[in-house]
Amino acid sequence: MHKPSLLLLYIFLLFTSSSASAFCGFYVARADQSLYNDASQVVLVRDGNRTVITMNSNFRGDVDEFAIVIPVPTLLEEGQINVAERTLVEHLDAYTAPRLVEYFDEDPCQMLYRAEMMQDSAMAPGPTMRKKARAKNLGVTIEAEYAIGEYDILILSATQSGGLTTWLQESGYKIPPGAAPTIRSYIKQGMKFFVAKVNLATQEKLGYTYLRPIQIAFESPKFMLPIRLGMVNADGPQDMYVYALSRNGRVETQNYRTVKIPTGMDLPVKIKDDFGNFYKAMFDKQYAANNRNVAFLEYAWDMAWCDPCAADPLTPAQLRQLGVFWVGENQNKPMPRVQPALGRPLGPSLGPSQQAQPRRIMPPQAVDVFVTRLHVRYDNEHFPEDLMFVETGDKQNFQGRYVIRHAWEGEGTCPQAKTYREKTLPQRQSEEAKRLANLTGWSLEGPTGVKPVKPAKPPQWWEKLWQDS
Amino acid sequence: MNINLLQNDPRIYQIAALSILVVVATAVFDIQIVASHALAIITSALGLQCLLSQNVSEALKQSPSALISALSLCLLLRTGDISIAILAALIAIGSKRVISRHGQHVFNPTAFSLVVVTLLFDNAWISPGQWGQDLYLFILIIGTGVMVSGKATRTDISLAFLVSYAGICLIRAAYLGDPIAIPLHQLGNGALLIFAFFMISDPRTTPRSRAGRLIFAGTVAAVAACIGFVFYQPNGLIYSLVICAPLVILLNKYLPGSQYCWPTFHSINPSIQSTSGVRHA
Repeated sequence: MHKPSLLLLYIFLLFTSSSASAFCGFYVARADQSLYNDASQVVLVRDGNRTVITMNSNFRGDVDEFAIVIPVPTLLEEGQINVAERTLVEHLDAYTAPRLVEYFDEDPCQMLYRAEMMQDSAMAPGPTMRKKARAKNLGVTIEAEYAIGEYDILILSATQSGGLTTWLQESGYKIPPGAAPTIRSYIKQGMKFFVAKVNLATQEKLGYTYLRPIQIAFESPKFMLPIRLGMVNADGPQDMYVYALSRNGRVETQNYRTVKIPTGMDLPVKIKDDFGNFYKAMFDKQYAANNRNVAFLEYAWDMAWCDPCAADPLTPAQLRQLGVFWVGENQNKPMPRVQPALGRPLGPSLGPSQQAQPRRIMPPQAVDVFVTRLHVRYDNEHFPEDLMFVETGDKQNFQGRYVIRHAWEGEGTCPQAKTYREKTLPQRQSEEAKRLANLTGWSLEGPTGVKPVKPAKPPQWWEKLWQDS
Repeated sequence: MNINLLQNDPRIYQIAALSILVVVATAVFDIQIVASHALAIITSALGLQCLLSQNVSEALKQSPSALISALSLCLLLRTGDISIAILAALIAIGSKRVISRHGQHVFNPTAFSLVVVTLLFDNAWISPGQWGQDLYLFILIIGTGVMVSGKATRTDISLAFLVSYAGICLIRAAYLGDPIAIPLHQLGNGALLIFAFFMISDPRTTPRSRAGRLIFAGTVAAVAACIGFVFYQPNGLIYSLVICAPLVILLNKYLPGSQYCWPTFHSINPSIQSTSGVRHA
């Protein structure tokens, strides 16, 4: 007999209303097996006190073992809950992902051309009357029950953590040890609880084989994400991507430092095939260097455009689906491409795959949406408090962008070509290798085979003595 | 300027400490202070202070205060627009003249200016999180150094504020059953220490009596906690200082004390006037 169990993986959000309630979430497994999410994705739409949250799970178990508990600030009506398409979050992730840009050295004797190549580096990507009576006895009130999409949803309120944990346990969930005090803290802050499970029959009817993101919309002054419950039984740091869509400017954490990820540097060409590993290694090193207690800014940009584009900007229709309520319904046309990118090859040729890449999209019209991508790796020791956010007025664009420059391999014989081959290029490659080693902590002969490139020896006087004869 | 005056004026220590903080915050901790904005803030503040002064002596006397306000704005105000930076400096210095009572300004100039520009402009904000936990020790050392060196600064109000705020955070955590790490994290923010050592301790905008200062410190802490924990708004400390400023008038009425004056050549020259600290009745 399977004893149902509840496994808390991590918490998403805490948004409280003036009644001091809060909002968090954790995944619930219905078997005693260890399920683990490497990274979660949360889209946070915020203007004034209006908030829409989209939570995309990276749940890897059987869907019938999945459930999620999210404390919410207010009782949610059916219309405040929605199930979105996963592609929306995936598109936003791709659009904001750190990118690799590729250039080709010009013929030192002639004209330059350049090309750009982007690479998505995203790492994670990720009742019955009796029941109600029993709940009431335990101080738990089932405020509402909804069936939305493939999810069965309960809205609970509780007066004591013991009652809520008992009720959840009796209803087939096993609360992870140590969760009760944190639940108690949230209850004292006045929150309600949102519990969602997958209805397998409905899911089958709808034809989905994966979990679609759950969305909730509410109004609350508190701009934060609760992460505490999710750390209760976590077996190490967890990664979370927060994609904030705001009106005024960049979003940053209020109670932790927000640090910009190193960007804009030239790196050895070899990382082209290993960009994901490079980014992971660099992130690991930055995470350790910043005492493991900061949020990293990976992207901050006006949603209308990008340069270079890792993916097209989201259309107004997509933004509305993500909850950007201030984008007008009459703006549902796809974002027009205005012009080809700067940096499109002027010279002969790039490979077809490179030519197929979108280069640059200029602002066709203001969409009044600013996107911030934050990458937080959190654990109990370094992130004791829930994440609190603040919207700044900073509209400066920022992106994680890394450059590789292919050497020119022509056979020019002009003096500039000679200098390029013998001095400029080796020196640059050596610097790139050292920079890569510094950024990632890899040894110069490390995983990518990065080796310091020594400047070529000056040619001997006799080397070309008989070549032309 | 008289060397004794320099040694006795606590503002000199504040200016030194704030300058060090500006340099270290920018160079070591990657807190983005735009050089052109900083320069604009400092020159605007000093310029307006000189314009508002009736004579050279008064200009010289007030300049250190203006510089302190300017440096504090450099540390705390974030904006992408240099005209907002200049406006903030002008509001800070102008507010001392415009909003005053019995010759003493009502609001802490920096706090007042920060509240006005952040409420008026979307492009002005404060980044309390950017001081993080890393700068905590550094600011603690600098702040303590200033308190010890600058004998006339209001050490009591800084300590009373920190104790009150810590008490509120600890009691809240105990009520919620939260682990101690949560209030410790809330108290380990560098922005809190900057506020305690360099803003609330401004002698000119704090109550004159010690009892008044202790009550004021407790009230500012309580209002700040209320803004953060009940209304969930950021920057509760600075808002609280501005909201509570009128309370100083009441406290000075019912708990009178001697008015604080910055040291002058006369005040430190025993042959001209007895130095009862640097305070004048």
